[in-house]
Amino acid sequence: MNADRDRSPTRRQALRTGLMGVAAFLGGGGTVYLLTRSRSRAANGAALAPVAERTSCAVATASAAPAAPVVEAPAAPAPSRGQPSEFPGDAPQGELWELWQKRGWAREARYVHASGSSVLCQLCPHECLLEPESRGRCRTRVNKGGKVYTLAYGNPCSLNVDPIEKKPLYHYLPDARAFSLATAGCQFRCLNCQNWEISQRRPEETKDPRGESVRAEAGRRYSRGEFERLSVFPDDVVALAEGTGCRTIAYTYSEPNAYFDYMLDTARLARAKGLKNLSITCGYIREEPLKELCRYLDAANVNLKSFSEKTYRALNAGRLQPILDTLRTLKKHGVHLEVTNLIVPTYTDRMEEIERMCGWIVETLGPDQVLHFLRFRPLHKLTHLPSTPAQTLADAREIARRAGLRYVYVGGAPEIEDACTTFCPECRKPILERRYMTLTARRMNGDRCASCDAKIAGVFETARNG
Amino acid sequence: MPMDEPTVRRPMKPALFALGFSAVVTQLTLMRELLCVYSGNELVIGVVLGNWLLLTGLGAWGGRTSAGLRRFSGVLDIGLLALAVLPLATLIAVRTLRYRFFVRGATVEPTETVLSSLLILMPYCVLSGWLLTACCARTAESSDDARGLGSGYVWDCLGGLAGGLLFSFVLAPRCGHFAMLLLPAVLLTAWVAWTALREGRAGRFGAALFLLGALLSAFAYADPDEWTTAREFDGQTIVFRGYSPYGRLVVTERAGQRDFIQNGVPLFATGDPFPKKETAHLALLQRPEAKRVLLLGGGIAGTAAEILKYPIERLDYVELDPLLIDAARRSAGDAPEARVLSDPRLTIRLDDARRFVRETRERYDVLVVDLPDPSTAQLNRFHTREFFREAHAALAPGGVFSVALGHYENRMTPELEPLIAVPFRTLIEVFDCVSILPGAQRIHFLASDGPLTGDLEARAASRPELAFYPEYLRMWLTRERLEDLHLATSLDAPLNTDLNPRLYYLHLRRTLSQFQGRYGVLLGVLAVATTLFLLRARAAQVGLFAAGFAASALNVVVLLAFQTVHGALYRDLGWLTAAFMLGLAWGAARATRVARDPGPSMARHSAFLRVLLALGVFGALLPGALWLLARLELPFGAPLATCLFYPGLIVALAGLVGAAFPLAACIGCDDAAGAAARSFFADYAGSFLGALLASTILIPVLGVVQTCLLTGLLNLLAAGLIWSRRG
Repeated sequence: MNADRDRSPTRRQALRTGLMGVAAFLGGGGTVYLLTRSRSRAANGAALAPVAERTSCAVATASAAPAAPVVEAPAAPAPSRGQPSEFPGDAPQGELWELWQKRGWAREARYVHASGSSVLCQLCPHECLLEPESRGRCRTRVNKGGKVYTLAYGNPCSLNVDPIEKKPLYHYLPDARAFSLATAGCQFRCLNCQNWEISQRRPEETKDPRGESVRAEAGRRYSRGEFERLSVFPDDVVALAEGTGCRTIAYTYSEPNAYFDYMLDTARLARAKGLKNLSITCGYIREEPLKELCRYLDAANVNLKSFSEKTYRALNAGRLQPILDTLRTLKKHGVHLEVTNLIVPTYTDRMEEIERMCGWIVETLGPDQVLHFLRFRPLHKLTHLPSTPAQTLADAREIARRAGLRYVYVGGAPEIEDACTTFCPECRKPILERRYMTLTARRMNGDRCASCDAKIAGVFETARNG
Repeated sequence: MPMDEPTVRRPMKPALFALGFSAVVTQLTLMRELLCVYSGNELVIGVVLGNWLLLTGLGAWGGRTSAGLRRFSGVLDIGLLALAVLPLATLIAVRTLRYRFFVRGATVEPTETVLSSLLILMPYCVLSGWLLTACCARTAESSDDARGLGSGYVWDCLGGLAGGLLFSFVLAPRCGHFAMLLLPAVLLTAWVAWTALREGRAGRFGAALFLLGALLSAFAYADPDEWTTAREFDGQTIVFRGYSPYGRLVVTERAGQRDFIQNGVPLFATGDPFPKKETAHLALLQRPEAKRVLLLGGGIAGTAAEILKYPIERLDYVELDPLLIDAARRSAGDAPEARVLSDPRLTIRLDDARRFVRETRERYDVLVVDLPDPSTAQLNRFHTREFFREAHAALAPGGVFSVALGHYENRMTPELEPLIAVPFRTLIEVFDCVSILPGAQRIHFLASDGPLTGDLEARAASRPELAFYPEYLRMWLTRERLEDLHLATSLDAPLNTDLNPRLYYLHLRRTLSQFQGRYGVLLGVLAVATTLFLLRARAAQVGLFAAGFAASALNVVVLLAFQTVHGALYRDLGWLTAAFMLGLAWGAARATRVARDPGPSMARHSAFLRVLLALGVFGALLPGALWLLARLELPFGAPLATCLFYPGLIVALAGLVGAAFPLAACIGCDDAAGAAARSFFADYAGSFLGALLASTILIPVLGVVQTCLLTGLLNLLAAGLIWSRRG
C-alpha cells in the first residue's frame, strides 16, 4: 500500500469539504481541523499533490547524489503570512481573565508583531494572525487589547520526576533523573497523541485560578483540586528540581514550544544554577525564537514524525520542512540532539521513506546522530490501525544502520533483541544496556568505551543524581 | 381521489410484507456494518437507529404525494427494484468510500457519525418510508377512509417479523453481510417480476429478470465481500475474514504480524506480548502458587500464554466468540498465542463471561477480567456491583480478582478521576482490600478478601522465566504514580450498578472529550424541531409520537436489561426485533378491528386513551419488573426464563405501541394517504427521539429507572391531551 499514491485530489477534496462543511455547522473540533486543513491547502496555492510529487522526485535525486541535502529542494511552500485564528473570540474574559492575570499566569508573549489591533504571532511556523480576543492554534496565546499574552506561565498541569531514558535521551547523562513539566497546549493535532488530555486542552481547562493559591513543595503530591490551583513559577521549578535531586529539567509531555516564554525564563534560571535544560519537542518553531532558546538549551529530542509532507498534514496538521530546519539549527548551535521517529503502520512504515529519512539524517546531522524508532500503538483518535510489527521496527533499524547511523534504538518493543542497547561503533561491544527505559549495565570510562577506548557520541559525565 | 385501475387490482399486502421484510433485514445488517465503521457502542447504535427512523419517517411524510399518482404500479415496481439494489450499494459504498472521506485508521468523530450515517442511510430509508405510506394508503377500503390503514401496518409488521426470524436463525449464523442483503433483494425483484408477468407488463418483467440475473451472477462469479474487505483494509494482506453471531472478524498480515480486527477495531496482534504481560502478572504475582485460574476474555491475545507460565493446574478461559478461536487456530500459525490452545491445562469455555461466572460451581484462586474498557453498556456489565458480587462468589477464600480499565499517563484529569474512583468505590463494597496499579498500558484494580502485597518487584525478580522485569515495575509503579491514583479514590463517587451504569457514562464522557462537537447545537435543533412538530400536530399524532417514543426508549431499556443478564445482544438482536414486530402486528391487528367498527368515534378515542395510559403504567412498572427478573430463580433454569420473559416484555410493549397506530390514524381522519403520512411520521419521529435520547443521554446520565418514569410520564401527558380533546 502506498499512502502517497495517486488519487484524484480535487474530487475527493470537493466531496470531503462538502460533507465537512455540513458537519462544521453542527460540530467544531476535528471538523474544524479538517476544514482548516482544506483551507490551508487552498491557501498554499498550487495544491498539495504536486508538492508531494516534487518531494519524492527531489529526494530520489538526492539519494543518487548524496552530497546534495536531501530535502532542500522540495521545501513546501510557506503558508501565506498570518493564518486566521482557529479559535476566534476564544480569549478568556471577565473574572477568569482577571484572576488569571492576578495569579501571574498570563504574561506578555515574545515573538509577536503588532499590526493595528491584530497581532501576528511569530513563534511557530503556523504564524497565526490573532484578531482581538482570539486564540492561536497552540491554545496558549491570546490577543487581549492588541497585545499577545501567553496563558501558559507558571501553571504546569503535569509535574513528575522521570528517568532521562523515558524522554528518550540515551546519550545524554544516562541514568540521570529529569524534573519534567508541561502545561496545556500544542501547535499540532496528532491523531495518535498519547498526551491528548493535556496537549489538546486550553490552559483554562487544566488549571483553576479561583480559591486559595497553592505553593509548590518538593516531594509533596497534590489532589487534583489542589494541583489545579498550584503555581510553579520559574524559580520554583528550579527549586523543586534541586529539591528532588534532579540535575536536569525536561520540558516535555505536551509541547514545550506552546509554553515557550515559561520554558525560556525557567531555562535561563536553571542554567545559572548549573542545571541542564532538555526539550522534548515536535520541533515546530521558527528560527529566531529557537536561536534564543538554544542559548540555554542543553539537549533536545525532536520527534520527526514522518518524512512526508503529506503524512504530516494527515496525521499531525503540521509541515515537515520547519522540523528539518529545527534539526539543522539545533545541530548548528551545539545542542545535544536525539531524533525520534514513530512508525505508524500504513503511514510511515514504507522502507523507502525510512531509507530517505536516514540518508538525510546522515548527510545533514552526521552518522553520530542518535535515532530512536518507536512502536505505534492505537491511541487517541487513531484507533483503527494495528500496532507496529516488530519485524518492521527491526527492518527500520537495519536500514538506519546500513545508511551509516551508529546509534539506532527501538522503543516499545522489548521482544527485539538489543532494542535499547548502545554498542561501541568501533569494537561492537555493548557498552550501555537498558531495559524498560532503565540503565542496567554501563561499560564506559567517561565518554569512552571501556573495551577499546573509542569515543562515544554524547554527553556522559557521571551524572548520578543527588 | 381516483386511483388508476391496475393499482386497485394489485394486492398491496404482499408488497407491504416485502417492504417490512426488506427493512428489517437491511436495518439489522447495515447496523452491524456501520458498527464496524464507527467502532460502535450504544451511542452509535442510538444515532444510527435514530437516523434510520427519522429518515423513514420523513419518507413516510412525503408518501402523501403518492395519492395523486396515476401510474402507481409502475412507480411501485421501480421503487421496489431500487430497494432491492440500494442496500447492497450502500454496503459497497460504506466499505470502499470510508477513507475517501475520513482519515485512514482514525475514529470517526461524533458529528461526522451523525451526518455521514444520515447521508448513507438516506436513499434506502426515504424511499422505503415513501413506499410504506403509499402502499398502506392503498390498503384502506377507500381513498377517503383511513380506518383500514391498520391492516397495511399489520402486513408490514408481519414482513418485519419474518425478516427478524430469518435473519436471526438462518442468515446471521451462516452468512456474510452481502449474502444477508441478497435475500431481500432476490425476494423484491422476484415479486416485481411475478406481478409484472401477471399484469402483462413485459418491460418491467424484463427489467426485473435482468436485475435478478445480474445479482445472482455477481454473487456466483465474484466475491463482493472479498474485494470490498481488501479495499477497506488497504495496505494489509487479508488472511482470514469471517462472520459470527457476535461480529465480523478480519485477520490481516503485515511484516509477519497477524492483526485480529473485530468489528473494525484491532483486538490484538501476534508477536506482541508486551501489552498482556501486566494484565497477567500483576494479578498472578499476588498468588504465584495459584492452582485454579479463571480468565475472562483476552486468552487468545496472549494473556493465557502468560498465565500458563505459572505452575497452575487449570486455566478456564471464557471466550464469547468461537470464531476468534477458530481464526487463531487457522491463521496465527506457530505464534505463541495459537500454540497455547493445545496446552492440556487450558479449557476453553465458549459462553458469555458473566453468565459463566454466575453459574460456575468452581472456586478459583485468581479471576482475571481481560476485556476492553466499559465503552459500551455490554462491557459495563463487567464493572458493576452485581458482577463483582458474582465474581466474589466464584473465588476461593482469599482469592484475587483483577479488572483493568483506562490509562494513566502523567496527569489526573477531571474525566479520568471518577473513572478510578467509581470502580474503587464499587469494588470496596464487595471486597475487603482493593489495590490500584497504574501500569504502562492500563490501570489495574486488584481486589481480595485476603492480603495484597505491594512487594511485586521481588516476586517478579525471582521469576525470570516470566520476562516481567523489576525495571518495568520500578518504571510504572512509582510512589508518585501510586499516590496520584490513591488521591483520586478520595473523590465522593457513586456506585456502578446494572441499572445505573455510571461507569459507561463516565467513559463515554471521557471519550467524547477528545472531540469538540457542539452537541448543544444539535440538541437545540432537535428541541426546536420537536416543539414545532408538537405545536402543529393533531392530538392523535401527539399521542402516536409519545407511543413511538415509548416504543424505542423502553425497548432500549429492555434490551439493555436482557444484555445484562444474558449478554451477546449482537447475536440476539434479530429475534428480539422479530418479537417486537410480532407484538406490533398483534396489537395493530386487534386495534384495526376496533378502528373498523362503524360505531361512534368515541369508542376509538377511549381505546386510544387506554393504550396511552397502559404505556404510561408500563413505563412506571418496567424498572421493578426488570429488577425482579434479574433476581428470579426459576425451577426450569435461567436461560429459558430469559428466552420467555424478556421477549414477553417486548411483545407486550410492542402490542401496545402497535395498537396505537390504527386507532390514531382514524381519529379525525380524512384522506387515507394523508392520515397514513401523518401517522407514520409521528410514530417514526417519536421512535427517533426515543432511540436517540434514551441511548445517548437519558440512560447514561439519568439511569434506567428515571428513563422509564419519564417515558411513562410522557405517555400519561399524551393521554391527558387525548382526554381533553374527546368528543
